[in-house]
Amino acid sequence: MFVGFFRDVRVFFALSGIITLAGILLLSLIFGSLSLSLSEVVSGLTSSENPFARTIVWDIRFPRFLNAAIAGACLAVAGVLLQGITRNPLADPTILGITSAAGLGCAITTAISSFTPQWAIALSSVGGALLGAGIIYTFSYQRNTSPVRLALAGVALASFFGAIIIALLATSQLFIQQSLGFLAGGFYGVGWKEFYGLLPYAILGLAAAVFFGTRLNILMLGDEQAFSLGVLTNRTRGGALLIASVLTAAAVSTAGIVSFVGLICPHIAKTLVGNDHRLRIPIAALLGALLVSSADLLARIVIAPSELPMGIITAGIGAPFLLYLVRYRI
Amino acid sequence: MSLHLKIENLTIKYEEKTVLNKVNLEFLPGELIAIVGSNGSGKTTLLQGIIGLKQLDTGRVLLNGQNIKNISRKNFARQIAVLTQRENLQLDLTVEELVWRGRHPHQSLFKHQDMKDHVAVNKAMEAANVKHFSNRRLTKLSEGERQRAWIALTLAQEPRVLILDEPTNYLDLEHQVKILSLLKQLNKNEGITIVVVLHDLTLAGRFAKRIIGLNKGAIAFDGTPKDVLRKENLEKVFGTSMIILEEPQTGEPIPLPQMNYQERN
Repeated sequence: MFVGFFRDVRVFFALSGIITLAGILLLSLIFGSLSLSLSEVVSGLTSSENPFARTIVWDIRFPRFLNAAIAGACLAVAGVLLQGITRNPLADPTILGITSAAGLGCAITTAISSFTPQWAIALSSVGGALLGAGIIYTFSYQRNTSPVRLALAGVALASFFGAIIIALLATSQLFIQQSLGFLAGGFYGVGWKEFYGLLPYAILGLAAAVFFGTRLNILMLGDEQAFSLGVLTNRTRGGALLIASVLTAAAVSTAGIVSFVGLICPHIAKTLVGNDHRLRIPIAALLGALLVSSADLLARIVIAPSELPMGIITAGIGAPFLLYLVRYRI
Repeated sequence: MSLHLKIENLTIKYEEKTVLNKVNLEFLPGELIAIVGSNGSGKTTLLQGIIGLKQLDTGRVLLNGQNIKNISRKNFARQIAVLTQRENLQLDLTVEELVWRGRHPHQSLFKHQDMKDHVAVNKAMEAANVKHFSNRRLTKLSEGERQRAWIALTLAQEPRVLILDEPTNYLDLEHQVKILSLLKQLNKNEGITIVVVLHDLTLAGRFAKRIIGLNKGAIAFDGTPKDVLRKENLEKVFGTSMIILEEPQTGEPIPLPQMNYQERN
């Protein structure tokens, strides 16, 4: 009936996702430590007549929403790629330690000076992520890498890098709220500067990820079978890992260490559109944007005028979801 | 187009151990071949060498005279399809979704699914006799049905040569016979060259027109079942004493292992 109007159920999912995202954008602009009226939001977005509304809407809330949506999309797509190349439903940037590795990159440049330009933070985030991915790759390069071994290596990597991050933050001159926000993941004080830092990596990574859908579909048949179907398995795995790292790094450079987004969204996408990665990648991106932007909205309003680190919300959803996966799906 | 596969002087080592030692073989168009040998004799390694999955220490593999190193993987996959032994994959796919993946070598970034793909997928599902359960999930099928679905995947590649590594593993006798009959039919009707690694000598003898025996990385025998399924050949390769019987109607050799069970006092 209603769904039948659309050529395909998947188009319906995509459209309703985009409409919901627009709704969250509107709510994000209205609500916060103080609420604006709809007309204030419109005037803040379109003109500088009302300097007060302009500052809140255009300089603070709108870029913050963009950061959240794009970081969420990046993490979700990184999760799809990692689950695809490892054929492991538990793989995600956090569990494999790539998030912490990227975080270490950010923490080093932030600790050096509090005036580090954002492009340098984003770049060192990418550097850290690639280092972490390199270590993971040397583990998974061997034949028959078991999911358990990969996850354990990731956990080891994550706690090692995590420890260094805390040491760096503890000795730096950052405010406690900034440090906490970074460790738990969140968008406290994030604006256009961070957005422009993350944008090139996000565009590059998301665009490249689209080209991996077909190959991931073949890779799931097993390495030898995929190879005999014409897929260069090592190159595909290396390429997808590289892109997943860049995407993770982009997200971490603005959001800090956000867990679970890369784990949950690929699974929900699979439930919605099945096991075809060509669809799973864009749908997961949409879900990631939805999840993180709505989590950030919640984080800003539950204890307004103060705010929670956004990562607390995603962890609050993600941890039970992981338990559910362990119990029923794995 | 017929396809001539030639293996010259093939050596493959694992670390320092030589698994295949200077093997020469030729597969002619339309042949129906079984490869036999005991565990560790190099059967799987030979297949991996042929399809380019293993680094060759010496030698080369020629496809219609062209070294496969110089052929793109997709082009190779359009001519030679392989069914490998699979680890236990819990694939959440329907039969049809699996078979569609066999079209990958025929697709590219700029050429997506078209009528030809649809025709090939349907034909493959009909040939492998999986059409009537094409919407069922792989996880819900019996071993025999699942194996037929995977064979349909290789047929969707529209190959001229089909190589299968122990496709009858874990199947009961009925399904072993069904799979091998299916392959024989494909060989006869479509003229596809078929190369199968098999463990069961009796089945190999009934199924294949040519049997290649591997022993310690070298070819121990190669010929028609009648010529090669001999006592001395098989005892050398399998290290167990054999009796060769005759099929009453056709006179085909039926190899039978002897049990060396000795009663103790």
